[in-house]
Amino acid sequence: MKQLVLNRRQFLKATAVTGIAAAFSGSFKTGFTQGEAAQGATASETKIVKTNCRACVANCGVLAHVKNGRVVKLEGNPEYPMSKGALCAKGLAGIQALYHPNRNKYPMIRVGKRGENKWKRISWDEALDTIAKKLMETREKYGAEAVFASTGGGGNPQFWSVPRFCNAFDTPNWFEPGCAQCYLPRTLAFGMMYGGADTSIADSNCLEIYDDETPIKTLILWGTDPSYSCPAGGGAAVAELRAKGVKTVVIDPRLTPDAAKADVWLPIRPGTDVALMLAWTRYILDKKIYDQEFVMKWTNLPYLVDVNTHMMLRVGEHHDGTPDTFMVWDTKTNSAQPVSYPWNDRLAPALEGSFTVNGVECKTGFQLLKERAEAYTLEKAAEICWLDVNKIEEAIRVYTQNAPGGISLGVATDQNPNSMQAAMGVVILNSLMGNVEKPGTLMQRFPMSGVAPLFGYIVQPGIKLLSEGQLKKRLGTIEHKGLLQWWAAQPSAVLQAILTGKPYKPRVWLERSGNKFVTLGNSSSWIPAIEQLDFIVHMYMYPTSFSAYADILLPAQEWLETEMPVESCNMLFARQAVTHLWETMDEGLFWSKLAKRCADMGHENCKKAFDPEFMGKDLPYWDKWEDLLNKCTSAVNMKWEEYTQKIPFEFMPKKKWKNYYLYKQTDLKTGMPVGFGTPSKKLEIYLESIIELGRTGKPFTTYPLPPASKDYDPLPYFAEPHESPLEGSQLAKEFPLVMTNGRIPFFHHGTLRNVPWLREIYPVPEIWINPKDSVKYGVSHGEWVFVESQRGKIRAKANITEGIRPGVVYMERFWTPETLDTDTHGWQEMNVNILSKNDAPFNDVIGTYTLRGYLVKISKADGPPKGIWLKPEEFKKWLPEPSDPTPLVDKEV
Amino acid sequence: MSIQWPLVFFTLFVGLGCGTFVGSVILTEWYGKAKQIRTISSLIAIVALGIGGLSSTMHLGHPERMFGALGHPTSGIFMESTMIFLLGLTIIIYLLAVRRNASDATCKLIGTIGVVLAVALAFVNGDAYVMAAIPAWNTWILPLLYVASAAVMGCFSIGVLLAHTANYDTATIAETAATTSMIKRAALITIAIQAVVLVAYLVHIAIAPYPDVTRSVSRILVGNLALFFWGGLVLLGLVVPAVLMIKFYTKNAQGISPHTSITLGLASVLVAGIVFRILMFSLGSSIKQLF
Amino acid sequence: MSQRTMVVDLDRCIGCKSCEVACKQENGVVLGCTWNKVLTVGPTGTYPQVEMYFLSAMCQECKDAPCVKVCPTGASYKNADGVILIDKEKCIGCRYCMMACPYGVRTFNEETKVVEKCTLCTQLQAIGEQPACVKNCPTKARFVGDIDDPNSDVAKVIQKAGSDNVHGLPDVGNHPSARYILHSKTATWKE
Ligand SMILES: Nc1nc2c(c(=O)[nH]1)N[C@H]1C(S)=C(S)[C@@H](COP(=O)(O)OP(=O)(O)OC[C@H]3O[C@@H](n4cnc5c(=O)[nH]c(N)nc54)[C@H](O)[C@@H]3O)O[C@H]1N2
Ligand SMILES: Nc1nc2c(c(=O)[nH]1)N[C@H]1C(S)=C(S)[C@@H](COP(=O)(O)OP(=O)(O)OC[C@H]3O[C@@H](n4cnc5c(=O)[nH]c(N)nc54)[C@H](O)[C@@H]3O)O[C@H]1N2
Ligand code: SF4
Ligand code: SF4
Ligand code: SF4
Ligand code: SF4
Ligand code: SF4
Ligand SMILES: [Mo]
Repeated sequence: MKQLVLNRRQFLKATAVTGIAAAFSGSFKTGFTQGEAAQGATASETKIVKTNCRACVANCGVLAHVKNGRVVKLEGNPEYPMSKGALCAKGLAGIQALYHPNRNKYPMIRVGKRGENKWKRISWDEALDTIAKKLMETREKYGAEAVFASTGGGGNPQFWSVPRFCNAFDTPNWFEPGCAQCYLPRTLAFGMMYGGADTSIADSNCLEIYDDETPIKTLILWGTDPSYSCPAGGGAAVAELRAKGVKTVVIDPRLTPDAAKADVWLPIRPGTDVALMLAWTRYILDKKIYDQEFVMKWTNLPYLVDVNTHMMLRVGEHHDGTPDTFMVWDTKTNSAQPVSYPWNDRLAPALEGSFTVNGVECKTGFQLLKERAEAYTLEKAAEICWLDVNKIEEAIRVYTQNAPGGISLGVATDQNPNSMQAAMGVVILNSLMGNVEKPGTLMQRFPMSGVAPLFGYIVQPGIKLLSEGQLKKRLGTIEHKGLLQWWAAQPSAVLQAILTGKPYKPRVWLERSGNKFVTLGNSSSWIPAIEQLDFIVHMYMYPTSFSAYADILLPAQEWLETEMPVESCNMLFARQAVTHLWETMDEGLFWSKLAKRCADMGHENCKKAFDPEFMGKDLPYWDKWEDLLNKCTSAVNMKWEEYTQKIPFEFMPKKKWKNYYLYKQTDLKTGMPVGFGTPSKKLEIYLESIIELGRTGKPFTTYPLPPASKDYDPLPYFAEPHESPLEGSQLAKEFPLVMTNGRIPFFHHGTLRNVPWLREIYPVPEIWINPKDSVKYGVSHGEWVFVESQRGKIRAKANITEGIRPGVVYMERFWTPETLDTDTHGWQEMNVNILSKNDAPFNDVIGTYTLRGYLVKISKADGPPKGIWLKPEEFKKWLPEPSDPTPLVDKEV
Repeated sequence: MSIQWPLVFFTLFVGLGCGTFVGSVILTEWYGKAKQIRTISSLIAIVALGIGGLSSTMHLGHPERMFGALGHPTSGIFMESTMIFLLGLTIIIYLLAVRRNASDATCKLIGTIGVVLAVALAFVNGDAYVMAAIPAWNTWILPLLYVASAAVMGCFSIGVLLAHTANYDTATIAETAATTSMIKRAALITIAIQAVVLVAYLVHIAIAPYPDVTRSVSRILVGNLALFFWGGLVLLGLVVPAVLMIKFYTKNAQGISPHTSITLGLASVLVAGIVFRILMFSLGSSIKQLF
Repeated sequence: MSQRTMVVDLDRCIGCKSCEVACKQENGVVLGCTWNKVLTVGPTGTYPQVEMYFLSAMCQECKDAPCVKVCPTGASYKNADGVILIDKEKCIGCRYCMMACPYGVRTFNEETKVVEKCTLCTQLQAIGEQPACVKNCPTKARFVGDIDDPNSDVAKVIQKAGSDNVHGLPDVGNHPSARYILHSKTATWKE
């Protein structure tokens, strides 16, 4: 009993030095808050707080039941227009994540050797001072660029906090394991070609599908599985559409729930999507089933392109608000004629054809697209993609004969070097069919409230803080300028710079997310780099494999502890802090505190970040989280407090919000149609502006950067995966199977592997193997197998299934917190990213490496890896240990 | 279904107890032979029932709540416990009667009541598993197998008792020989019956509805239960005891003493009894085992 | 007579298993125990001509419940709504009911040493709420109500689906009352 009444100070002393996963041995078991609760818990009152989940990129509405300050139950909030009262397994498991006995509770500093896992508790003050000092020293000696940071993908609501801090610190180097491998290809292609949102359901786009009255007739799920990547929102919406009779086509190598329920399933060979897209394009052009009127008037396909410069012919100066005037071939006069925006009815432009204009050979964009697609007959695509010709044709028919509809593109195609081209391919296929901004189509630009303006994130990256000279030093970005849309560096370039010291050596790593070993390609390749770093900070909710290599650990807040406005369709919600535990901090605040320290130590650029005048419309760095929240909600003329009283509410009536055909509406300033968000205001199917991007960095920089080594291609092209399984491939003789990945609904990236409810359902990673391959390689169902690529070897449990093609295997990422304190630090046993590839070839525009579609082999293993937990009872050690709220630490620091 | 060890031993010992008591009463009271084994066999029967009963409580999560069963007299557990209790009581009364030298008719009457109870108990022991949910168990043949198993065990158990207590004086040698050959015959008959019931059981499994690999004849005959079936049931349960019995007190039985032979026989049928119960649980998959 | 039971629309179910976790949270079901499990049926057929659906397994609320019949203590019983429940105070943990259940949907709690199973969240229904798994199901694939009452949710969805597309687990005299909706377009029902 005596232990229980230890006061706070004594308790802290008692746990002064501890292993990273010390709670395994139970040393945190009697946290002081528990003791206090036991004494004071008399009044019992349950209140229900409306908040929003963040166990994945969606923000599903939550009703948190709170009793005596403790979260006791989570339910879905039926008011949330996407999830409509549902939560997925990950969201429901929020309590087990929040009260996990192994939470990072206080800042800790390493006291043993790196990797030894000996830690000492320090105060936030000490932590911030230590980090700031190290940063300033490094900057002094090697330049600010020697500091780099990384963040987590969609899971982290404070995504832009990291680039913001980097910009303030004047280092150009931060990266994210998604980015070029996730979403950037799509935001870039849709952004540049359309000027509107992409069609990712998992990223809460495709707003049309949540409307009960949508007239949509067909939905193509291309490399996405909403059932697993967003079950509560998108997955449910797609199920509802199917129930209403909407036709679906699923293009996915793995038999997902959506594939099983689809009208047509095309189990494509991983990494060959662009070939299939070009075949669809060819078919549609060939059979002339595209929307002729729309293609002619609202895409740039009739415009003439100089075949030598690849640039479009244009005349006249453009003036404010109007685009350049381009040239078309007028069939009435048989001459090139300017067509001023939006259209000239007197002209009869040719869509197809090659023409000579003033001695220059020109083709229409349409002609160029047609030529690009020419080689990709259905037969050719079937051969490349390992598909059935008739099935491909059936799928195209489903798509083209059931308008309106649209193609949703998932992350699959972002994860191989053909990434940008696939996203371009989908813009093209949606546009050719006129599936743009009509009721029942996926490409829409419905208005937003402005509370979370940047892809739904509240922190602004403050890009103007980064100086021109420093931007030029950004690793990997000169070659892959598409990264500029997100203002990010390329992970592989950062890695190479550390290893080679060229062009300079990054030395300090600030990492704030889960388990980089589980999310970065070829993760073992980072170990020699990590060994060379001077200083590593890891901020997260609990220790992961990465923590073992860090020098300072910082406790981040779980989603139930954080606050931010959330927008969904035409409604606004609020993530509200339901409790606060230990000394965790919202990282959006942490970065501003760190910047403050640096400013105080004389960092001029950091000082600017606090200067309202310099920051202009962007909020200068904040002292209090509420300052930022108030700034966000000022978009709806409210203070945060008032906002939280009012939520949920519609920021605009639904009817008005569903603003179809935006491009046709009149722009009051010009008196002309609004058009699309591109330089030409047309859908830029022939993406001329990508050439300029490669040469200068425009439109993402205001000053020119050195050109990339090669011009980017304005039209999509297919590139056979570098590790090809096709005949003639030497590598395929040793590694005959194509590996791919895809979501499972129990974990978000590297998260939640420590949650008993979820590990009970899915304790170890499965590898899907076709029965024919299982015979060939001598492995049976439920058995442990080795999976090996050129880069490494791991284990997985065999799932022998007809749901995958012979020659293809599927596996999702995994690590094991239960072996954190062993030599493997939990990431070497079953981590599929030990096998993946992070070297060239990269995508030319974006620098994407290969997470899916590389070669592996399998063989029988003798059993599971050592020390991993398989039985439900083993996870008892991680059952939640609820504790009472603690005061926020921000005030003290 | 996983092997429920407490139930394996519960039914094994109850079977042994029933068999021993029935064998003893038939031999001593009905045929008036080998009266010297009355006490010891009754005691052994009681002890076996006791061990069986105890073993069954090991299976319970909350044996202390057992009295709740009193309100539900139709349940299998209630019937089994009641009958064990009644049988035990009858045996005690029988023992007292024997001790007090009650009349033959009285002893016979009490013994016979015990016999009826014991046969019924052995049957109920198996009948408790007859349920539509488990196709491999859903047959009257199953309780018959339990009865047959009890009978075989009873014959050998009595045989052992007899071998240890028989009087080999020249005066009684003929009598002993007659008794012995009776037991021999009884044992061989029960083994034969068991063989027939076993075949019937296999037929049941083959034609039972909702076929599934877990409860298939091929799993028994050539699958992962084959060793249990051929080695345990056929060899140890039928062949070995039959051979031992044929040689038991046979003039040309060489090298193996009657004592050893009958004791080995008992061990063999006990092991077979365990194996049979293991096999039963292994085949005991539900129509659909969803979890 | 009323017979409350569950109906699951397998055309809708996407196998996300959040109903498993919702059940665990609401009912404090311990690790290793399951009251509700979503099974993958298939893929059957040969790649790429395959079928797959998800079968939500839980107590089928049998009209003639063998688990009740074999229970020696009356711990297992049928309530007035036709729901089969277990009185944990009476249960002796003999597990006969587990043997008697044709579908193996009862589970033995090693901590409390009693048998447990889906209760149709009677505690929630008593206060006018839907069971946790029903309320939380993203695709609204689950329904609970009195199947003998033609105006109930369950009766209506079954009616709407048409008898060809309504299936039950094999009946061995126990008359399971739970129903599954599955159209052959989604997949063929596997007995
Ligand atoms: N082989 C392979 N590798 C992959 C992929 C693949 O499919 N296959 N997928 C890729 C993709 S698409 C992506 S996006 C990346 C993702 O890779 P990472 O971005 O490294 O993933 P996480 O760090 O786990 O994601 C961020 C986590 O932050 C947590 N979080 C939530 N709120 C907060 C907060 O307020 N503060 C902090 N500090 N953390 C918070 C969430 O739990 C969330 O899961 O992985 C990529 N890697
Ligand atoms: N449960 C869960 N949900 C998540 C996440 C998570 O980690 N877990 N992460 C979130 C994030 S950051 C993202 S980016 C989204 C992603 O969400 P989705 O875009 O839906 O992505 P995935 O499931 O990763 O991949 C979609 C499908 O692509 C298939 N696939 C694999 N290779 C190929 C290929 O070469 N071509 C084609 N056409 N298909 C292929 C996979 O089998 C998979 O079913 O999910 C978000 N939601
Ligand atoms: S899909 Fe699941 S994890 Fe993601 S926000 Fe919704 S409930 Fe949370
Ligand atoms: S929650 Fe609903 S959709 Fe998800 S597995 Fe359960 S029944 Fe199916
Ligand atoms: S385990 Fe409990 S509920 Fe089941 S039969 Fe025995 S006493 Fe009844
Ligand atoms: S399904 Fe099983 S547990 Fe449920 S009522 Fe029927 S027999 Fe009892
Ligand atoms: S009705 Fe309640 S008890 Fe039954 S499966 Fe659903 S959540 Fe669990
Ligand atoms: Mo992502």
